[in-house]
Amino acid sequence: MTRWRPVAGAAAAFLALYLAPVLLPIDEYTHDIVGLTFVFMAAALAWNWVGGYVGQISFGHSAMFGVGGFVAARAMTALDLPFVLAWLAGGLIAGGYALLWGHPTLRLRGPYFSIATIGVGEATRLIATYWSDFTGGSSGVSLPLAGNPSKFELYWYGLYLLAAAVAVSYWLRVSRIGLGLLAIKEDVEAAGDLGVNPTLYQDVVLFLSGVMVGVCGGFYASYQAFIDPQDMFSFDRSIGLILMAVIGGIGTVLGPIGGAVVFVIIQEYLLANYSDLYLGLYGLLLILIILFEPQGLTGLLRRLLRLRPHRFRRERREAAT
Amino acid sequence: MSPLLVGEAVSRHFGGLRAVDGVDFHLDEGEILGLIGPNGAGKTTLFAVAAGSIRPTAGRVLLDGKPVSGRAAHRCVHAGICRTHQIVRPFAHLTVLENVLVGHHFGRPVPAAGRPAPSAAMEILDVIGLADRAADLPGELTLAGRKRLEVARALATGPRVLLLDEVIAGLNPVEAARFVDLIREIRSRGVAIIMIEHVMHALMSLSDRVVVLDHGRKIAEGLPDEVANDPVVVEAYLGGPDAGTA
Repeated sequence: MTRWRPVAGAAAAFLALYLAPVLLPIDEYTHDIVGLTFVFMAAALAWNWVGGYVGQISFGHSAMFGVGGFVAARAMTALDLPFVLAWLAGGLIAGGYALLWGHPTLRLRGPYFSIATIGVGEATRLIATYWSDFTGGSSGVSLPLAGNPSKFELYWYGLYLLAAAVAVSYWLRVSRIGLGLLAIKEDVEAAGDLGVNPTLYQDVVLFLSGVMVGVCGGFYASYQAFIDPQDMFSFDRSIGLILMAVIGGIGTVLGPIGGAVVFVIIQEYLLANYSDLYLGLYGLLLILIILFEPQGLTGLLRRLLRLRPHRFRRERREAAT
Repeated sequence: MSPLLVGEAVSRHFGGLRAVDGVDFHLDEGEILGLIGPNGAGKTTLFAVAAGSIRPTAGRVLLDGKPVSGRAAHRCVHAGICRTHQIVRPFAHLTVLENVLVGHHFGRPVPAAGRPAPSAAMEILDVIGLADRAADLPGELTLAGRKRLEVARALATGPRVLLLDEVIAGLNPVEAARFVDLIREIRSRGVAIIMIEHVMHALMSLSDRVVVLDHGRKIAEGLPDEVANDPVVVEAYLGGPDAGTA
């Protein structure tokens, strides 16, 4: 029975968020920002599949965000694809791109993998900046008004993306694959010696992550109606995903959602008032979290509620008795 | 009847060091083969080659006549060879039961679909004697417990050949005696075993046959008693009559 409780909770939350803009008097600015936050949540969850579940910290997820965004934008401008299909095309190509660099680099572990991803992110940014036929170079790409949804409508599409990301996060944790990912994270060689194929599972997870982040990039393109490579592929974007996951609780199922909320609030408030200060504050926040509560908001919440650390473990304990 | 597992002139060199140098061996169905030799003789390297952790420099290992050496570790496991580690490597943040579930779910080429089903893994924990510790973390077990867990995980992959690397070493006599019974029980379930062990009385009482390695070469093979009295073996362990004068 316990396995249906999270599903019911998620369904209730989805319904509430779905109806909120209709029932509550929410101003336009908040409405739009919440819609965009849904997508940052989805992207942070997707980053967490690789960074948290497998323990491979990627500093290069902006690459998939940008690839997804530009492929989606071009699919709409050049091919006249409907926007949902354009996002999906962007996601799939971003997932393929993730495999292209991830398959060889995922055999590296820890800091070595992270350093490789910094290279991937920056190389992708530079290529995109100079490939002006596709990305518009430094002048970027504008999306057509016709066929592109309004920010008001995008709220619900953002919600769908978030729901999909939550579903995959949950599935990746409770399924057989989730157990294999935990084993790989703990000790990749011992996992192999028990029959887990580390290459396959890491590739699958990075692909899924790339697809989701790519679709988020496509959404972002529709949301802004104008994108340029310096923004889409910026290093800050990768760092932002890491921060959301770390603030919320790296490796937890829902933590990155809370992290994204904190991140966006800080960003909106600080960027508006103290634009020079906000990166410094993130740095400080990161240090404090890693020192005092490595599981972020989730760890804090668990400590307050005195819950046991592993829901997986609690379930097994019940099964064992 | 042809043997279950065959090593043909297996060699593994690390630069100039011939860790394993042209070793032939075989293992029959349901047999326990003891593998002994002084420190650095190449025993663990031979295991690593057989289990796919490292590639042989030359030679090959065949299971049922099909080559398994040089394959990735997980493919050797799927073929039916599983090893334990001399220094136990439990997944520290997974419970004892989850540790075993990893082997159970991923140890077979076509794994069971769906959510992890704990019953089969619990059965193995029962045999191993860890059933009442299923919900604990490996760090909460004694060394003997963690060694049992190492064997339980390997057993959960459904192996035909189990490679046990010093599972008894470091245990007290009571625990060691229990482990000897456990290994007999595993054999009686139809699993063939190669064991590396420095605890001689355990190894001698369990093994049907013993292979002795020294400096990467096989220097003796035979029944436990024959090998123990073989002058070449005694020399390898204790040094030759002229060792002091050289």
